[in-house]
Amino acid sequence: MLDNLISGLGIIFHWEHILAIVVGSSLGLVVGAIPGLTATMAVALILPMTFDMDFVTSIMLLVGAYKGGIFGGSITAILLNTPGTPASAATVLDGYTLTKQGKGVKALKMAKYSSTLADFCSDLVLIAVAAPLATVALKFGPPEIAMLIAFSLTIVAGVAGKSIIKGLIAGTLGLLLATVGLDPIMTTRRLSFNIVELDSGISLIPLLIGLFALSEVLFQLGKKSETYDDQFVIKHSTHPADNRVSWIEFKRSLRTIIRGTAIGTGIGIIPGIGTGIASFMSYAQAKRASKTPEKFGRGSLEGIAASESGNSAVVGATFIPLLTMGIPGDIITAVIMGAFMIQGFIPGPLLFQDHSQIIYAIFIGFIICDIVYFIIGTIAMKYAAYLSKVPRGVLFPIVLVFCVVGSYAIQHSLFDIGIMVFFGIVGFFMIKFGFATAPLLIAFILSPIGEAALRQSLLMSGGSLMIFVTRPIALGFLSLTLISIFGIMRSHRKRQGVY
Amino acid sequence: MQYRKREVLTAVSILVAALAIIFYVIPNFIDMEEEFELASLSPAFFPNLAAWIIAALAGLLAISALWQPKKSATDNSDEEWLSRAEELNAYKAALVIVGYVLAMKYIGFLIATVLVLAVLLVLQDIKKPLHAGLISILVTGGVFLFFYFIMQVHLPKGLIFE
Repeated sequence: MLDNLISGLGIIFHWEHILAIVVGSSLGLVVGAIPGLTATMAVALILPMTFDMDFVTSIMLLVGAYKGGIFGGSITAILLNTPGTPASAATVLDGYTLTKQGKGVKALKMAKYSSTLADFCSDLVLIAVAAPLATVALKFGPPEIAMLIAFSLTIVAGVAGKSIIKGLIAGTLGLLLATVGLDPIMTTRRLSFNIVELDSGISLIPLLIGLFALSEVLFQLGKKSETYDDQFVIKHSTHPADNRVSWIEFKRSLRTIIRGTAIGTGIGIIPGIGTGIASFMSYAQAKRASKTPEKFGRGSLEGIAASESGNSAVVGATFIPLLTMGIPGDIITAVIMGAFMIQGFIPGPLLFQDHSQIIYAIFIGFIICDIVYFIIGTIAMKYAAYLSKVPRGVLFPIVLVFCVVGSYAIQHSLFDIGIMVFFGIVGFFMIKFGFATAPLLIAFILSPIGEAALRQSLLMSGGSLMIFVTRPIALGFLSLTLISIFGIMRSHRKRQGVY
Repeated sequence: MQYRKREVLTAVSILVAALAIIFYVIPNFIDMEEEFELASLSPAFFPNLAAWIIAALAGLLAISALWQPKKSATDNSDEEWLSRAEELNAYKAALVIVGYVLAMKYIGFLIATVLVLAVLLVLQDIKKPLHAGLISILVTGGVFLFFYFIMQVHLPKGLIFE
């Protein structure tokens, strides 16, 4: 591992890679700070710009955008009571209260410290755990992979939204859509309706830009444009103690940050749960353990530390299942998985065998990202609040142009723009009728691997399903799948009383 | 529309679509030149499996909507949804976007984008035509130059100008 880390250092310290991290973090921070534009949208819109870049540069740009986007969301959460991303929703509780007391800068600084520290620790876990896990994953054959994908598809239930059934329908639609094109085993044409462009399947990038960005653009364009209140002024205390986090205050929150990091990392490793839940779970645990729980929600620095460490620690950890087993840990890593595939790198254990130095370069890049967004965050804190004042009526037509260009850029194809618009409209109606769009994307990405593995397994066994029970690792994943389904349905039933 | 009725209608529509895929689309749009001894060898195996699962889930959705007690069968999916007028705005925007994509083939990226941006900005209540025009030209030009010179992406010129 040490050899790979040293080689990785040699690869990553190249001006293009560092520039990619700086640009990615800045773009992510800006987009994350604009309410309505999420970190997912930032990554999806930046992705088409990476096609002509080398692999490490493109991944660094996207990872920078991911990390910057999550932190950017907390700036407006604290200053304007408007979480830029869902991950920052818990930060609002104490952050905005502190802003109202004139201590916005103090809150931002605590958010920055706890985010960076948690993210850094999560990256260390990624570096320590990824390679050994990948060695185990190398022993997987088609039955193990098929069951692993089945387990991964339980992610679908995790991001299903309010109705599990609707989430599963969306996910299965993703499986079906992924079968368009040539059959992976018999190489015959499937569901391409004699359209030549569909013989190679539905392009991932237009599909994801349509589902995540254009559907939101349509939703926002439907709303009446609003002008922001020009009289809105952020209260600012001139007292030095209100504008910094003292060592004692930081030390008091350190235990909370460590707890939040552990929760966020644990949640990040499990596919499909995400930053929002990590943030709230960390907040709830911090409140439970605090000596002053009554201060939570009334401007507690510990509250900010809990929320921010929880959501930031998810980021590095979500790459563990992606890089070791080829399973995206959340929606953003699903998009980044697309970038890997476009560049000809299939995420999974073979990456560590064939491209270990590049992977370790990326790992070091993760840590550089933490340092970069710490610095950029310091600068951006002063100006980011103005971003949320960009009128929506101007912003979303511009986002539309980026959706169009982004879809066109990969294959220089007008057909891809049509695909993007089609899925944008599909996504809009899915949201209208209460169907989450994330399950469709995740299943669409996992489907080709899952289908090939399932059919190969059945060929190996002469059509018998017993192959999934007689092999211990496959059986283990099958059991995990069933446990996961049972757990998710139980928690949904408890939460809502309906499926 | 009443929540329960809408859910059942949604479920029935999905069920009908899934059955159409199973009985019409798959037999007609998947090349199956030979009979397969093992079902899993057939190219239709996975699409069929997915379509049957969708059909079953649609049935389950209909049952769960009907099963819900009347009191709890209130619409909770529409909490942050658009009003009727806003939804109409979104449909207008969708139509403009579809027109934009169709027009781009003939008049190219530059003209089509300036026009569509101006229309959308006006639809978004930016009443001053000068502002709308200026923003449209600046944004289109900026994006074009960025992609042309930095990303080396040559955006469509349009059939008329080729």
